Amino acid sequence: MSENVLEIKHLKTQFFTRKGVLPAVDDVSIEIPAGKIVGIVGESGCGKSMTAMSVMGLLRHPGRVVSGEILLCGRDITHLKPRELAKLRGKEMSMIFQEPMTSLNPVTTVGKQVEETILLHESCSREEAKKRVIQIFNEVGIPEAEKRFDSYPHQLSGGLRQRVMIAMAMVCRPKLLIADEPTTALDVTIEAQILELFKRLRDETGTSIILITHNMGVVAEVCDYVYVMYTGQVMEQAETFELFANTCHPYTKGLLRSIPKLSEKVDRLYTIRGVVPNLLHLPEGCNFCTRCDECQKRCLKEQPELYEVKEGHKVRCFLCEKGGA
Amino acid sequence: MSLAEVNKERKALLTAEHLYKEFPVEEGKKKEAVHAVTDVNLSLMEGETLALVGESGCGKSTLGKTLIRLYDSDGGKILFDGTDITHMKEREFAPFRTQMQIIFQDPYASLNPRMNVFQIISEPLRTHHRYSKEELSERVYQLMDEVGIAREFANRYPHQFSGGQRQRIGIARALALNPRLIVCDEPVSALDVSIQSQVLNLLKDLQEAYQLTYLFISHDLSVVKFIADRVCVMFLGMICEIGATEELYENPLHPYTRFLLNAIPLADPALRSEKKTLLQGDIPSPVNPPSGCRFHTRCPYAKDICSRETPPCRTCGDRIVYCHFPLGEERS
Ligand SMILES: Nc1ncnc2c1ncn2[C@@H]1O[C@H](COP(=O)(O)OP(=O)(O)OP(=O)(O)O)[C@@H](O)[C@H]1O
Ligand SMILES: Nc1ncnc2c1ncn2[C@@H]1O[C@H](COP(=O)(O)OP(=O)(O)OP(=O)(O)O)[C@@H](O)[C@H]1O
Ligand code: SF4
Ligand SMILES: [Mg+2]
Ligand SMILES: [Mg+2]
Repeated sequence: MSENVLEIKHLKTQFFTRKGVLPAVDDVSIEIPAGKIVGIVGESGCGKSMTAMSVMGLLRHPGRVVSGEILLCGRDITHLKPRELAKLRGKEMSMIFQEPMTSLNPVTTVGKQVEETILLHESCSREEAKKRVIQIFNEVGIPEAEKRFDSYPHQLSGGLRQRVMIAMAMVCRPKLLIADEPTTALDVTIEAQILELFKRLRDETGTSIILITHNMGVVAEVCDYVYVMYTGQVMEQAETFELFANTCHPYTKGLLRSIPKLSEKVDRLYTIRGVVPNLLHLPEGCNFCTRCDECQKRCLKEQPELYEVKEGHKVRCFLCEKGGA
Repeated sequence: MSLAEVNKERKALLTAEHLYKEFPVEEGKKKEAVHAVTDVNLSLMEGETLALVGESGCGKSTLGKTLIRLYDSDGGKILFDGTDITHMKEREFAPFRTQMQIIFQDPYASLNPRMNVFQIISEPLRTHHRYSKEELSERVYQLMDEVGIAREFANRYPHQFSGGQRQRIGIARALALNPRLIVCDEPVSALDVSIQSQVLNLLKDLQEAYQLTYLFISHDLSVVKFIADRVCVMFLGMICEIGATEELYENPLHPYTRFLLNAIPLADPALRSEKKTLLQGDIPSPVNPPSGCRFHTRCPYAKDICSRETPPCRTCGDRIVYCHFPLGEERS
C-alpha cells in the first residue's frame, strides 16, 4: 500500500452556510499511485475542486474538512497546522488552479515568480535558482526560455501562461501535482500540447498527477485511473480502459452517451433528464435518483454504497450491489 | 439527395463577399490594427447550419457580428436574401435586423439581471410590434413552451435559473421576432455536457420547426459534427476551408483542418494514439499577421511561396480550400 503517493480516506468537506450545511465532498476515498495520472471528472459543482482544496489545506471559511483522513506518502496531513501545510505546498505537493490569470502576479516577471518558489523552499543562491528556472522552462516547452524569464504574464499567450504555471508547480519536484481544469481555457491544439506535457512529466519524473476535468475526452486521452463524481460523491471509479469498456453507473453511461461522437452521425443526442439537484436539498435516496433512467423504488429511499464489480472497479448503484451490471 | 444537390436547390440567405473587419489598436505611437476578418467570402444557405470553427481569437465572433451588421464592415459586401445590406441606413435596415438574431455564449452576462423572464422575452416584441396585453402574454408563453421553460417561472429573474435554463431564455428571446437567421455564438460552451445535449437537441428541433438558418460558432469539433451541415474553418481572420461536414472530417484538405481534427481528445481510450502529430507553436498575432498564408509559420508543409503569396481560392466539388498545397493533391 506504500506505493500510493496520496490516499484520501472517507473525506467529508462541508460548507456551513446560512441556509444550511452543504456537503461539497461526501465520503470520498481516492488513491493516487506513484507515477500515475488520476482523473477526477464530473459536472460543475460536483466537488472536484473542493476535494483538491481539502488535500492542499486551502479551504476557505465557511468550508472545512469534518472527517476523513488525507495521507501524503503515508503521513497523515489531515490535522497539520497551517504553517506546516504551507511548507508542504509547492515542495511535496503543488497545485495548478482553475483560473490561470488570477494565480499569476501581474506585476512580477514570470521568471521571478518561479524563482521565488524555489527560494521559499530551498536554500540556494539566486543565480542557481535562476538557472533552475530556465531549465524547468525548457523542460515544460517554453521556447526562448531565457528571454521569457523577463516576460510579464500578460505578455504571454494562454498556452505559455499555463506552461509557466506548470513550471512553477514542478520546479521543486513535488511527488504530487494537482491540476484543476488545466486545459479548459485553452484551444484544442494547445490543449493537446499540454496533455502531452503531463504524460511526459509522469514518465520522465515519476510525478503523480491528479487531473481535474469535466471533459471525458481528456480523461480517455491521458488518465490511468478515473473517478467520476456527482453531487460530492464518487459514483464510479476504475482503471481508465475498464471504465470506458465496461461502464456501469447510469450517470457515467449517461455522460458518455450525451457527448456527440466524431465517429457516428445521429439525429438527436442522448440527454440526462433534469438538472443537478441543489446540494442543500439532496434526494433522500440515491443522489442520482431524480435523473436516473433505471431508478427503482428502493433508490428513492436508500443510499447505495460503492460496490466492487471487479477488482479496482467500484460503482455506487444498487444495480451493481451483486457484482457487474 | 446528396448534400451537394440539396445545396444547389437551396438559395443563399446571406452572402459575404471580400468582407473585412479591423479594430484599431495603439501600439506606442504607431497606429495599427487587429486584422480580425480579412477577405472573407461565404454563403449561408437557407435552412442550413454552417459552423464556424477555429481557435480563440481567429475572428469567429467578429465575423458573425459583422455579417448581421452588429459591427460595421471595413470593406466588402453583405447580401441578405439578395439585397445588399452593407451600407443600408438604419431605417431601411430595420426590417432586416429583425430577421437576424444572435445567441451568446455566456447565458449569465447576456441577460439583464434586473428583468424577469417575461420582460426579457417580451422586450423585442414590444419594440417591434403593437401587441395587445393579451396577445403579448400569449406570444411570450408560447415561446416559453417552445424552449421548455415552465410558464410559472415567468416572474423569476435570471439568477434563479441554471446555465442551461438561462440559455433557453436567450433562445426564446432570439426567436421572438420570427427570425430567419440566428448566429449562435458558442451557445453551449459554458454548459455541462448533460445540459449541452439538451440545448443542442432544442436548437435542432427549432430549426426543423421554423426552417431556421444557423451560423453556429464553436471551437468544439464534436459538437459541430453533430449540428452542422457544412463547416467553415478559420485561422487568424481568414478562411482555410469550407465543406460538407462529413466529407471535411473524413478528408480534410487544408493542413490546419487536419491538425485541428487530430487534436480533439476522443472519449475512448482505445483510440488513444501514442504518437499524435501535434501542431507546434502558438497562434501568431493578428496585429502583424504572417504574410502570404497566415498559417505558414506553423505549417509543416510550408514552402517559399506560402510566405510570399496569399493562397488562391480553390474549389473541388462543393469544397473550398485556401492552400498552396492542399492535402488531397499530395496523396494523389
Ligand atoms: N465558499 C462556498 N460557500 C458555499 N458553497 C461553496 C463554496 N465554495 C464551493 N461551494 C460549493 O461546493 C460544491 C463543490 O464545489 P467545487 O468547486 O468543488 O465544484 P467543481 O466540481 O470544482 O465544479 P466546477 O467544474 O464548476 O469547477 C458546489 O456545489 C459549490 O456550490
Ligand atoms: N471590440 C474589439 N476591439 C479590439 N479588438 C477586438 C475586438 N473584438 C475582437 N477583437 C480582436 O479581434 C480578433 C478576433 O476576435 P474574435 O472575438 O472575433 O475571435 P473569436 O474567434 O470569436 O475568439 P473566441 O473563440 O475566443 O471567442 C482578436 O484578436 C480579438 O482580440
Ligand atoms: S442506485 Fe438507483 S437511482 Fe441510483 S444510479 Fe443506481 S439505479 Fe439509478
Ligand atoms: Mg472546480
Ligand atoms: Mg468568440
